[in-house]
Amino acid sequence: MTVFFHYSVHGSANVYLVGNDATREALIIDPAAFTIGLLDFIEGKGYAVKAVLVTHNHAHHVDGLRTLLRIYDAEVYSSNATLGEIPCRMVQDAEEFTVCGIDVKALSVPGHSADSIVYLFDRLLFTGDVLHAGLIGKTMSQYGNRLLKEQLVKKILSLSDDCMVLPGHGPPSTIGAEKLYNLGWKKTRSELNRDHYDLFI
Amino acid sequence: MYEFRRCSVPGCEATALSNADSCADHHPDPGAMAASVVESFRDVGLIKNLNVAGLRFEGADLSGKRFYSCSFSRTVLRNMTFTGCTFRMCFFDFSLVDSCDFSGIDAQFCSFAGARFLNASFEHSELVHNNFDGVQASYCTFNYTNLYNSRFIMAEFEKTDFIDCNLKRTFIFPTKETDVSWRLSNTQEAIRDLDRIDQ
Repeated sequence: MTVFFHYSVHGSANVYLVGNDATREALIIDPAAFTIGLLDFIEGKGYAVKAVLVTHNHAHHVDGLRTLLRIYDAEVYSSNATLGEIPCRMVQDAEEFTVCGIDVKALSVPGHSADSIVYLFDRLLFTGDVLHAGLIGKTMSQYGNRLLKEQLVKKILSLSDDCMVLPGHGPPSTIGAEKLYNLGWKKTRSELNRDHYDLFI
Repeated sequence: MYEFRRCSVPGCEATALSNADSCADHHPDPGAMAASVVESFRDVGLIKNLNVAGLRFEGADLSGKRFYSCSFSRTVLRNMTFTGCTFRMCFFDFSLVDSCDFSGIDAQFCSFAGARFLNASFEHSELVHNNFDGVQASYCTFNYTNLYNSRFIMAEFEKTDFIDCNLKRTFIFPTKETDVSWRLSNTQEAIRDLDRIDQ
């Protein structure tokens, strides 16, 4: 298995190409944009793109999908039934499947968006926007923030410390580093206040 | 990527070293393993998919080599020369870097999170899209370096200089900053406030 990283200027997003070196099949994770440069790269490596894995339906992660599907006959995996008019193979929490000969486990981590899914390839974790180096995903509400933290603690921080985190934006990291250096685990002022008030209940 | 084979020692969940059955902690002779790894670099310019996590390297000159998808996590690097090297998707997490020369390197999409840098030089380098979260840097220089889109969250800097650096989209949230110079760097384009994060 070979993993290539492509920086898309569209939303400063990371696009990943995961290739199966034995079959020369490849999958793309979060096609933020599908550019000539990316196409040339894939063709230069001799891969045929057979699948697209989408972490969540935000523009900076799916805008290249339509262009990609005009070129490659690829199956789209997502937690949604459709993305726009594009039909998807729906994946569910904790579902394990094989794509391009590579074993993948999907984990639902809502909070940043209701449809957020991360994909675990052995010790490679493609986190989309739920977990970045040093930060957790942005949320729309305190409820979303708490939900996201709960899900991350339950499903992601329980993974091996040397599991690599490959996020939708920014540089890579590891689970071990995120446990120690992520600002998301710091308590917000409202959370600190809540602890304080709890003393008087 | 390198193979994620588990260490052969029962109960150990660590990834085995490349060309070995066990991880560095359970390898019968990690010193000899490190020496053979350095020897294997001698006549090759491109090193891909190598896992040497946890080994100790000292005094080797690896200048000009290109490293793709390699793990140097938890390594100890002493008096090493990496001048002019290229790194893509390499991991140096929790490594101890003592008196090493990384000047003129081109590192993209690498992680140095939790590393301890002592007397290390990254001058005149392209350090784009790298993770320096939690690093402890003492007596280091990042002068004249492009740090676009790199992150220094919960990092500690002591007597470390960032003179004339490109800090556009660089996340800088240090927990300790002693005797640090940001002279001639575009600090206003750095992200030092969580409200400016748009992801």
